[in-house]
Amino acid sequence: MKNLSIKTLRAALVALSCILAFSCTKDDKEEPHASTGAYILNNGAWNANNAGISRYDFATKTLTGDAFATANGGTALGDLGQDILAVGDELYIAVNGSQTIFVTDRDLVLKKAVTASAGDAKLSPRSLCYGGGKVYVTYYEGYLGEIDPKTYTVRTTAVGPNPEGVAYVGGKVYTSNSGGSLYGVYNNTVSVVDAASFKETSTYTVNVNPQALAACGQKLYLNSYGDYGAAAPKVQCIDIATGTVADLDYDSPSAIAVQGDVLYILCGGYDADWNPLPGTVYRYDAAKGAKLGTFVTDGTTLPQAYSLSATEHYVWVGCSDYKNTGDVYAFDIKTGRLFDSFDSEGINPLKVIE
Amino acid sequence: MLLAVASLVFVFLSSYAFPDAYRDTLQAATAVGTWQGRAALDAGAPRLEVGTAAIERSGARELHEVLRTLPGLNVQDYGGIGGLKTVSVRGLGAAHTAVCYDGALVSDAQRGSIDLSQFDLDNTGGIAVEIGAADDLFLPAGTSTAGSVLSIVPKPLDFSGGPTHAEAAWTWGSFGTLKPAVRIDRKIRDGWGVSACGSYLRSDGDYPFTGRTITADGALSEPGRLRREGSDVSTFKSTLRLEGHDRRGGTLRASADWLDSQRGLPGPVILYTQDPTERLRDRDLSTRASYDRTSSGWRLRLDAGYRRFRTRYTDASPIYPEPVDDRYLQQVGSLGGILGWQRDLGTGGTLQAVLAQDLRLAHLHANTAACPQPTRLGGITTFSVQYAGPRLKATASLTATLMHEWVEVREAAPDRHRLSPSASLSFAAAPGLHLRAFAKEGFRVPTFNDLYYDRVGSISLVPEKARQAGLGATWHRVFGRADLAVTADAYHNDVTDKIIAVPTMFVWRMRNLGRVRMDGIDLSAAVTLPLGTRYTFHTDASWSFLDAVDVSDPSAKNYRHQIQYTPRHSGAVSTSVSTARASLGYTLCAVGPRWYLPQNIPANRLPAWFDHTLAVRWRIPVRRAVLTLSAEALNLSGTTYEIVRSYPMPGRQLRITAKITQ
Repeated sequence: MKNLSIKTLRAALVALSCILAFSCTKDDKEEPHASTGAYILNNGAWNANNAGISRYDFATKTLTGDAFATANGGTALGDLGQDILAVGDELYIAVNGSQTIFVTDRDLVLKKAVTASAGDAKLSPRSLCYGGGKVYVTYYEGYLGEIDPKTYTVRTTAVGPNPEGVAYVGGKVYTSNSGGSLYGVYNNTVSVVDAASFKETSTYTVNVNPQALAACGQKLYLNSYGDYGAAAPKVQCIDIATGTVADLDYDSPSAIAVQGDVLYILCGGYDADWNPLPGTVYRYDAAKGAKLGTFVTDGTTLPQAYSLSATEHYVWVGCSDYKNTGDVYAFDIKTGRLFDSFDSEGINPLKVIE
Repeated sequence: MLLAVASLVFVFLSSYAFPDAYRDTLQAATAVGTWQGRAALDAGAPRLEVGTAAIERSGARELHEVLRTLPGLNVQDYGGIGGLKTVSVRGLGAAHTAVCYDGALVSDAQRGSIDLSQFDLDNTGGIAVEIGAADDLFLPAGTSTAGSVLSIVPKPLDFSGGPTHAEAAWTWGSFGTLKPAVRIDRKIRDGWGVSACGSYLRSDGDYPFTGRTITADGALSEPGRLRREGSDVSTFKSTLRLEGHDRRGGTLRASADWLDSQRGLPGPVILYTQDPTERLRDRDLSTRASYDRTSSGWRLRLDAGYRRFRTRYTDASPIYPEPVDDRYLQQVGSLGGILGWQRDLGTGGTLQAVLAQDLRLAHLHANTAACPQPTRLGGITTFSVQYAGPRLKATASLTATLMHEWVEVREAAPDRHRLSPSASLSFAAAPGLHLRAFAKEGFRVPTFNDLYYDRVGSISLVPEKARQAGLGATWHRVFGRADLAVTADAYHNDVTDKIIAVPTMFVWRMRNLGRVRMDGIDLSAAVTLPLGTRYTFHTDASWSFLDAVDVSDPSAKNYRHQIQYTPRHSGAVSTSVSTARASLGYTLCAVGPRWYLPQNIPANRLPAWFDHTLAVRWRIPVRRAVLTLSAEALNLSGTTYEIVRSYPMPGRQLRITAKITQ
């Protein structure tokens, strides 16, 4: 990247300004799956076709890199693995650059490649969530998709520009519209789509450049990047019952995740020379709306913290310098103590599910 | 300065005769058939030369096809006719390679490195690459801070066959490539001539590669043949030149070049999808004039130039609410003067002192967000001294750079001033054997993109320094009509304050963070051997080793790993058999494994590639004209190897040219 072309520069802004996206929690869960390990989705480097999934075994504390390729005769996952979602015995993997959602079994054996288009435009998936018996996906071209898990057919409806996060709460699907492709004119809305009619019915106005959405009961948590200038990054809570949007008091939040009734918030930020500061994970009572303090209890530092995931047993922090393989820190969700840390064997570990 | 003093000392110590007067070294070099011409072998730092005869025998029709065969050079190629091509020398990066066309520095303050595909090899009279400390002191001062200088000399006006010289050529190539070209040289009065040439190149560029797609029923297809989409090219180039000699022995040259190019940017091959939406339009007007005069111990060269290039980048991707339409207009005006003084010391040595001055004004106007419309005024002064004797040649130079920038909004980068020294020494240890050594500190200034691109750029960037030191030997021997030249060089380079884009959670930031250490070896051999009375056999071979490791951050996983896209081993062999009328040539380029990301792990490895080219050429006299038929089969093995990750190269290609010359 020593000499960026116009094209690269412009695209670099787009690609990185929206590199993080997180799915919502599952609203009505399928049969619980007895988990013995985790899937780590490595986003990969932009344009490098090197997204991948590593598998991690809790009992042996061992990692198997590039498990998708191994399970599928060497088939590469593609460019920019953006989100991974477990639905029953299936995994949905949104591969943004490759404009495909791969559906696999729990052993990562490929069952279906789901593509979608609107008019002439092929659609690029971002985030996934499950609700009301359907899988929902945001498409960066400005659409929400609904996938029928029985037939893998997709229907789409227009939402705001460059939607990132998606969440399902009680018959409504919410998308956070970042407008991230045009820096300078970021969007600041969350679309509300009625799942039955599959039409946008209203919008919420939120902080600029909204990213991940995570639901907890009738509350919808949202983090936003701001405009990298005057508008700071924020975590906000949309109260669906009252229709109000309130700011949470956190400085430099970069990622959120919900597990149970707890919202986990990763805060980091940069020093004056743009050196990343170590990340801090906070806990927040998502049901009652109250701060619970920091999560990590054993003093583990999180250099170059990049992503956050919360699963049934662990909280996962992905750390990355964006050019080398990342590191994943797994903390016991009950105690906040480090369970294990390891090289993710891929660039930009973005999402972990059990 | 120490070396400058040292070279003055040599003046008094030396006791050899000086045989030569001022000469245009490059013109001399073009007379030499192979690129290791005689002129190069006594230079203190490596100087690689390729003449037209060698270019024609190898079948090369584009500049990068020649450069990739030279030792120490690494061509970055995004594939196909329209793909960006740049050259990095000894691992320093393309921004440290200055490009001179017709004696004038071609600079791009916005992007730094120059796309090689803009130069027309068909109208080139020779190529030289000076690595490190330049031996030719009559280069523009603006080149003195570069790590190396690539000089391209246009083909001289040709009046050998009469007052009018005309050429017309037609080229057919694979993937819908056509290129008609014409040239007319006309003598207008004694000592004065004009030349006009024009060419048009079009190509569909839809070359095949192997890939997989997703079928309508949601399955992955088996690997099959796909075609590159959105890589069409259409380029019109024309040049007008005037050249004349006045009665006092001065030479005046003036020229204007016009380029209008439209091309699709196919982007990388992304797995399972192909959806190119980007296009680039370039309109480039370049004018220059120079006056060069030599008289009794003095030489003066004056240059003036103006270049105006417009770039329009469009992207119709559906992720944008409105299609992207970025327009850039860069204007560069330059004035340069070189004054040389030479004295035969009577003791057999010659002392030469050269003062070169460049003044360069560059302005960028762009419609992109928050572009501050920067203007840069740069003044570069180089003072060089060279002592040349039959056994010893010593060169020292010191360059002072002053730079000031203005912007219309926000803050401009602070003024810069910097001194950069270089020195070289060549010693004839035995007949035909020269030992050489050089050291140089150069730098590259941050580009307008590095400094001012919205949010990515940073005005606090300092220049990226490149320190080079090299040791080598050249050996040349004539055996009857056979001729053998061998060079061997070892070097150590350090790049500090490397300007790199550092990602943050939100956007990239340009920072002076990188540090790279390089150690390398370049070897080359050139053989010319007559076979009987009719045939001549030529072979040029080269091999380069480069260990270029990132030493920026001891805690990073890529600490001491080989830097991206830099092969440890690369080599080339170009061999031909020729007669007065025909030639048959074969060129092999071989580049070892590289890493496309900083970390040297198997997942980041790009495999080695081998590219074979076969070329035939036949000259047929037809009455008073000459018909030349040539054909090249490129990349014979047909592998769509990648030089840049996700950018496959075209496979096997054919190119046929018919050219009539009168």
